[in-house]
Amino acid sequence: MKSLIISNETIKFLLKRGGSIIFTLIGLSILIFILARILPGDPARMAAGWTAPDWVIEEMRRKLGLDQPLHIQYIRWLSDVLKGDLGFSIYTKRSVTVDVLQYLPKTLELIFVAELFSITGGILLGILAGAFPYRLPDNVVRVMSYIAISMPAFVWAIILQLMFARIIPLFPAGGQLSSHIVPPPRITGSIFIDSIISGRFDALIDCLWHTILPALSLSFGSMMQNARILRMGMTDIKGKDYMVLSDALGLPLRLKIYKYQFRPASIPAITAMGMSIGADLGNAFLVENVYNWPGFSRYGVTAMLNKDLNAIVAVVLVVGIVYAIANFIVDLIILSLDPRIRRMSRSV
Amino acid sequence: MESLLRVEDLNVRYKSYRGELKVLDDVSFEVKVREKVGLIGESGCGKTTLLKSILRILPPNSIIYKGKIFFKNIEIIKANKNEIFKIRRENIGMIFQDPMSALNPFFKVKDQLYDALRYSVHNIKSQQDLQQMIIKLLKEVALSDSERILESYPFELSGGMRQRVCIALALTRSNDLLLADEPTTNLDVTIQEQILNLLRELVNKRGLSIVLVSHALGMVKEFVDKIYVMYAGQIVETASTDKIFSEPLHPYTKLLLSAVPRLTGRWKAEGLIGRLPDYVNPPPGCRFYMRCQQSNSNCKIKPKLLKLNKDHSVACWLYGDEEH
Repeated sequence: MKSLIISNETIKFLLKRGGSIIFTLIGLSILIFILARILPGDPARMAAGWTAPDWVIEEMRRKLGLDQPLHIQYIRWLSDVLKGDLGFSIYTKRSVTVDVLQYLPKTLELIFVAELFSITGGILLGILAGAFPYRLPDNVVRVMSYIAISMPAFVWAIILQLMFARIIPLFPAGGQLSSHIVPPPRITGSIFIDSIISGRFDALIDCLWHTILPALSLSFGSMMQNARILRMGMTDIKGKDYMVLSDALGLPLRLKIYKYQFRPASIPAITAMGMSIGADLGNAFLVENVYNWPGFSRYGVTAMLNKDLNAIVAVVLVVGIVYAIANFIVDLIILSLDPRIRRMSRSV
Repeated sequence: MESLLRVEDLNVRYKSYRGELKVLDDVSFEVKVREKVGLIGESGCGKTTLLKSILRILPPNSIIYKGKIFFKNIEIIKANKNEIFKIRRENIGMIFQDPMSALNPFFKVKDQLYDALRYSVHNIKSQQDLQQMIIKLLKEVALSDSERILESYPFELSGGMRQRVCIALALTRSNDLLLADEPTTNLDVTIQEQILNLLRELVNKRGLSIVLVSHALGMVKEFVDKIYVMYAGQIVETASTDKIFSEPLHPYTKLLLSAVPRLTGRWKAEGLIGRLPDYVNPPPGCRFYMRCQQSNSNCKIKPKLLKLNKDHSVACWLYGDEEH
């Protein structure tokens, strides 16, 4: 495709974006590092246990490096992070890196399927509603989106679990694999990828089967949000002069909607989709709990409740990285869609 | 001459929160084959609404309340989708007021011309056909650097170039009639003349009819054969171009002509006092009544468009009052 030829402007744009992402992440890490340490509660005491005598706590404090000034602690932590070491978890008594590598892929699987639903569903419903505003499909989508957005994801999780796992037992009620399936050998930590690599399609199908209900409950809110924003964009564009012109030219309805109306309308919706990926990562916690999903969000909340400093910072950092990557991808997509940014290198 | 387009007693209204805006009120209008017709009147008097109703591209809050539009014996208001699409693709081309916003900024000029030609009456057999047709089309609208223009996005072109592209788009449609809705209003003065000359040349060469809406009365005067004067959704006067300029009859026409600044002679223009009536509750009689200095008690009853002679009609109680 000609439009994807990389021009100087494009490279400049990408470098600028990449740079700002690194700055954002550094800022985020400082912020959360300090925040985690000034919160009330003594991590050394929690690590040593409530009944430990004072000298054991002091020993623990020295062992964890908490007796050093904040900036020394941060620099030590940062150089460790750059080496791939996120520190020691006082709750799981393991390396945080190991924990992240174990839990994160499971949640990413869930988020991936949920975003698949939320993006395809959002686009379909958004086009349907936006192409025929104030008619039946639009009204149905509007009512659906009010309901979906106003109800938190875990309520959907409970409703869907009751409906389709208990009353009509179509799907499993929880977990990631059925007990009779032998898990595929651990290569990346993601059951999807591992079972594909090792050719275990029974495990793949079983895992997908387990993913559908939690992913659906997680995706409802963002799906309808995406649909609403796309609908708004579509109706916005519908009134533009160039749409009146394509009417006057007698272009076929499909061409008009899918090409000339959809592309300009998709820009705000795509931005919203990028944001919703990060938001869903946060929402995933309660859904993971309802479906007993051994995921990262559950790990994060446990870390917070136990003031497990290194784990908290790692979780926030990972969420930040996911946000940043999602938004970077969004920028790339918008760059390829909107020639005004590409040709004039204006910022989004 | 044979009639090409005939609008009869057209009433178009817009729904709004305040009530229905009764914009077009019994508008009758005719364009003959190869005729150049001018449509003048101040902003907001329904000229664009009239043009849009001919192509049935009015916004969704509009209602065609009453009236008929005949195009070559097809009744446009009653026509089905296929007939309308056929007319849009084969017979009538439209040029819009603002070339800055009439082209989609997300697609190259090439894309937009391709799609227009692909769904037109032109018989396109191959990609080369299409390519040649487009280059020929650009030549016709005097865009010489066709290679660069086709690969450009609309926002990379100047206003004049964009309007030429818009004219090219309209030309893919207009085998009979061109609707030009203030094609020069948003352009530089230096470009206005060029665009108008281009239009005249194309219309003459292709043997088209044209409806030219414009505020630039001087330009209209040199372009068209016949003029309709509109005020607040009503046709108040129609005559040949010479007659309108030499002996305007309706008080509004007189005022409109005197409102144009001139470079020679009495150069200080007289503005029109007051503004257009409220379309929700328009005056029941002549809609110009409130601003007219020659109004009398008759004006509260609506005057008919009265034919005074072969090519001069006026809707005013000052003329032929016993016949209304």
